[in-house]
Amino acid sequence: METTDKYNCFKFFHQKSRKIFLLIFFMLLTILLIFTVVLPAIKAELLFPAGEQAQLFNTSHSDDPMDHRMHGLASENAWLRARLTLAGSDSLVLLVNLPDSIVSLQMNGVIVFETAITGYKISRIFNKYSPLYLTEWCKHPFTVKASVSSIPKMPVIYKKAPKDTIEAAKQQNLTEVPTGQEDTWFSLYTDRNLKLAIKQNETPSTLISEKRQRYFRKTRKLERRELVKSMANFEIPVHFAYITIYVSRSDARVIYRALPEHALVVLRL
Amino acid sequence: MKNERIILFWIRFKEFLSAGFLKAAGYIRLHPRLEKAIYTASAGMISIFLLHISITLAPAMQEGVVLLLPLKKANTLSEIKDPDKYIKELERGNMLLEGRLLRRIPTGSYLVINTTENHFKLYHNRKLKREGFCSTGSYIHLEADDSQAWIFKTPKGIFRIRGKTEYPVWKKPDWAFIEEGLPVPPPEHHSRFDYGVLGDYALSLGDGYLIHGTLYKRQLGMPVTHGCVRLGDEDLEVVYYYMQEGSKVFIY
Repeated sequence: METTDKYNCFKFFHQKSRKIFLLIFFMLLTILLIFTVVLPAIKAELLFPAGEQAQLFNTSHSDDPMDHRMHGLASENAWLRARLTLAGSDSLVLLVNLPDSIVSLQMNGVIVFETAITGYKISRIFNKYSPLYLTEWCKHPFTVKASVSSIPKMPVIYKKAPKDTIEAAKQQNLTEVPTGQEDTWFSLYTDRNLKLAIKQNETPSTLISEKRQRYFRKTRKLERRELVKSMANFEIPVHFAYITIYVSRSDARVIYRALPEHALVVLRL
Repeated sequence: MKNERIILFWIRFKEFLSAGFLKAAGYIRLHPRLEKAIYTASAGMISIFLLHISITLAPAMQEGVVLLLPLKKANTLSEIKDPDKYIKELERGNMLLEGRLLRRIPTGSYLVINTTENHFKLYHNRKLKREGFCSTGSYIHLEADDSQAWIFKTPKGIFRIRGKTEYPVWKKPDWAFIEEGLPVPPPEHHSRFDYGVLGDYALSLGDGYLIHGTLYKRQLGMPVTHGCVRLGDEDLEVVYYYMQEGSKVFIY
């Protein structure tokens, strides 16, 4: 009996201090969960540009077809206005039109690329807002603050200058032309709590692909960093409302490679 | 080196934990101080693990809690004094906006080049006239011994045609010699001038970038150039015909 006591796993903890330890541990865990999960979700709302107040009204959702018509027209109006605001810009703008299932790229008011959205998933937070509220939210373009991708922005191939013509000929044979078959997923984190992810609709070339793992790792790392940053500043972390759209692999690659670092995104919901 | 340290730490840590489990199962006996250290470390690691999990899974868990949010509402048409007038105003507004957007599209000719897919589209009077494959920058970063470096990429953005040339001659820059392992000749040396390699026509985009023809037609649709845009002979002829000086070229 004495031996068992002597080598008891928790002998170094006095019975009372063990309880206190466990209590503090679970309290800390609960506080952490409240701070990182419950509060951000309860406080979650679609953020508007600084200084702008969202119009909130007190009536309920309506099934009146005229209301649907009005919402459709208002949404189109906001969409066209946002596009026109950016039509003077020489920079490339990403346009995501969910009702028409089209994603396109605009330059100086000209649509230079357009493709069909084959499917999409949206955050549950959008179901909590009426269409008019969502239209107000989308009225202004979003600015991309950070992005994570499974492919590089520029497929740079590093090459040392050959010393002579023989080495140059060898290099010529070795230079690989990119096949363009890389699996493509990317996420754009914008200034107003929108996370727009664009993913290929094809199944990945390999199920456990290194690139895919790395993409998800990078996404988690970025989100974790934001969360820890907010916690360090004693601020309630922002809940990102996500929209995931699926396009073909080649189109996803075109969109990602074309977008500038701090691209503008116009959204129609 | 850093990785080695991490691996070593991980091995030691696993040994440490294994010792703890063996001790707990009663297979081995440990010095009380070592035992205390093992359990303190285990408690610490479990706390860090739970912290890590809760932070990592927080965004996904938030989605579940969002369901509890109250509905944010907006107004309905019944609250608007004159709904018909309001709808008509919206319709008219949208038509005007569409018209203004349409006016942004050039009425003459313009060229759109997709550098990722190596594809081009030529528009005239807002209608697609021709499309096909082209070749754009290879993204090769060439590094010379004397710390000089070049990156062969096609610039992106909006450009205008600066000039048009028939039977262009390529004046080879330094990198063309360095890339081939040849000595760099003086600036006006005859070996710098290459005839017939740019096809029958060239359209200048400025800064030495051209839209021109190629001898390597099999490489159309691939990223193989030093930054210029290469087109097939027939495509080039059509582009040369439609694109005038000042016409816009959109490259993305």
